[in-house]
Amino acid sequence: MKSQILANFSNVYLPAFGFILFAIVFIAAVIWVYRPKSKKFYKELAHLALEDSKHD
Amino acid sequence: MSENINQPQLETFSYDDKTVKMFSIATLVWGAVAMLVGVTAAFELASWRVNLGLEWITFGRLRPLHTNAAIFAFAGNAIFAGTYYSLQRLCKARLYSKTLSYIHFWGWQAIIVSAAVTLLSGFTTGKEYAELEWPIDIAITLIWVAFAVNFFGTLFNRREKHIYVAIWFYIATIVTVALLHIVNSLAFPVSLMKSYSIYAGAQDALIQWWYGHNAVAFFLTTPFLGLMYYFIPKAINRPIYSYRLSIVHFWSLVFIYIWAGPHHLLYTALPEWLQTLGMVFSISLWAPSWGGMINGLLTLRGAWDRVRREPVLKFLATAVTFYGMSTFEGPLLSIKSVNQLAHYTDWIVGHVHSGTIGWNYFLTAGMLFYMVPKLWNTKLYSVALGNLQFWTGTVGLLLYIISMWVAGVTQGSMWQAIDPHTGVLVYPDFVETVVRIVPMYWVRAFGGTLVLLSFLIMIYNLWQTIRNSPKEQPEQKFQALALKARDQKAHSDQGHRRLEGLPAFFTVLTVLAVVVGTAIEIIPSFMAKQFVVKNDDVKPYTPLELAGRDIYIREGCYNCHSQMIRPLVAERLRYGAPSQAAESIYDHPFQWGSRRIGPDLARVGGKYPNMWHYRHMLNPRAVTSGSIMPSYQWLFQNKSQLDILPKKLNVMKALGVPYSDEEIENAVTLAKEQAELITETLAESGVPPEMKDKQIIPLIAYLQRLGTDLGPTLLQEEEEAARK
Repeated sequence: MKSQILANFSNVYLPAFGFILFAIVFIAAVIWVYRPKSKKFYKELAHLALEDSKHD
Repeated sequence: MSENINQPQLETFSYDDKTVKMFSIATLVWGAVAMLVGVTAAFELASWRVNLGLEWITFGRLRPLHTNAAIFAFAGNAIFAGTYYSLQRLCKARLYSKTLSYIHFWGWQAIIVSAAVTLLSGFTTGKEYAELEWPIDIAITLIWVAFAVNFFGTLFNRREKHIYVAIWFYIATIVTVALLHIVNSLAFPVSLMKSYSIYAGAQDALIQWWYGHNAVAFFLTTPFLGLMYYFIPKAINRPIYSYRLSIVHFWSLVFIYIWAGPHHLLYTALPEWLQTLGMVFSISLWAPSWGGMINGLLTLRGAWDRVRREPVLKFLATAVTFYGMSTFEGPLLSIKSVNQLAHYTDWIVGHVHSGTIGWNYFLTAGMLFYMVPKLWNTKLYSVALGNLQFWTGTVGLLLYIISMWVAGVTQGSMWQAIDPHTGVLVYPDFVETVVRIVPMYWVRAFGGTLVLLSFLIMIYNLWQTIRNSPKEQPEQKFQALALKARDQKAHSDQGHRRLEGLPAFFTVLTVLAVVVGTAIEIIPSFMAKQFVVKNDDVKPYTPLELAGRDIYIREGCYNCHSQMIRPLVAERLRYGAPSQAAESIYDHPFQWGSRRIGPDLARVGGKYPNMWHYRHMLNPRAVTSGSIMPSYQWLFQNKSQLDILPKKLNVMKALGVPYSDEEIENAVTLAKEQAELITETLAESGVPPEMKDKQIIPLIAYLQRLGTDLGPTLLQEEEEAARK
């Protein structure tokens, strides 16, 4: 029944837009996190979870 | 740390662990209740006698209590405990407000208690996982706001510049759950404990499924992933395997989860290339989910000997494994050809439990085993009991999942079996397919009992841990630089650091990611109204039928009976013409259901005489040998409440159902007249005339109406088309 409604929903561009947008976000995120010289920074961040209970 | 600062501004602070302790204890209490209710419901399916004839604990009312208790009471309290514990430590700051923590804790517990009382009393909206009536819905919103203010206030006061990835997952949870809850719960009240959803039929279904799918995503997945990213590194004392992967994991999951899941259902009649696109979406959910799982498991690399020995790690590792398993199974079930077989069967029930028990319960257990000894300044009471709990729980869970796989595939195949020579159903009696899987219901109930038992072992173990803790519990003091002082440190402030340093900006980005998905999911649903071809043959329910429909909702019939015939040959043969969207345009709320423990009822109207329904509700086995449906004697004793009908019709009219003023004014008289007509037909079989006031009569009226507006016409059209 949902398919029956959506069969009449002719705007195929909406989901296609969503898909392309997601692909862009995904690729951008991957490029961003692997940008040069960021390794040390992420290493620091990963240690945040461990240093919290130390008496500073 | 402060080598570059002339005057280090060290601040001394402590953590509000009392709130964390309270939420931890509540997690234990409600976990046991949720599982006890679940096990009871499981036994009720194995044997219909288990409800002892009591209306309050009949399956239709107990199942919503089980799901709500497991999700919102057990998982909810676990989320709050773990979030408050990790948030304070990751921010190096005490919880923002003692008062808000207090309101949050007691408010949430009060909501749970009121949910238990109202659901068992039959007050329900009839929408899965969102059954609570409007006053409780408002309370949930208010308490959620208290949680959010407390959370963001703490974040604002933090002494750590960067926001660790776990906190990202918490933020996504807070904003998305608020959005889901508010949009799906919009309803028009009739009285203090009765309301009608503002959405109807197909539109209601679309919004409900958007909510239902994402309740799993943003209540049972994202917050627990946040907990995973905090507690696994803590427990093993090494950083997460790849922080970069966790960033990609977060954005992909938040972006895609909100709308990928339901899409596979949407495209079934769209062009082939779009179906493929829908499939790509579902399958692409495998990537972030497995990315997260692998990240968790690889953090444990080289330390598997500790996983073997320590209950904390044992539970965390197994939880992540089950996360991987159930997120593999989910997209698999969303593939059309698999879904056709699995939908409405126990396979889905098994899938859900591999997630909730394997992932949520086990992760919570690992988290509590880590937190409780730390919170009470002591050691875990017994590692042996932890191991016993682990194996009892795991064996119970495996029995549960495997029995549900077997039951689901068996029943699904039996429903669809058509004799190739004669073209008729091989198992035309629905009950045949039920009787076949009842042994699996016993196995499931036994497996569930083992899981409950494992949980009770954990309660004992943790209770002893707390009991043996030192009497004196001085509050630990910590010191950290104020954020301002840290700011002065020589940091080359690059873009992403700024992004993380600004929780508000980050929250906006998260909201955007979620809203894009929501818009794409929801826009068609709001446009659905104009696409549902209105059929003038579909009329609103009569006042008596409406009263019967409310009894149907009250007794939770939708928990076992769907009202949606799919366009499949086997369903056409078994139930009649496939359901049309136009048939449910006046259904506030829709009642399409999600599981067929009993047959579909979309076209049950006129299929049997009134007397059949009367005898069936009194004792299902009198008309269907082997039926596992409970008896509904109370419907034959309790009087139907017709006085409220004008008010109900009025609300329906306000929601767009075309009732005339005359109908509304005479609703009670019209209902009484129809009740008398039905009772007269029953009187021929010896039913006393005074039964006309009882609740069974409106229910029969409703059942006899189902699918009759269009059913005969559709059949005629089909036959004519076949002749041509």
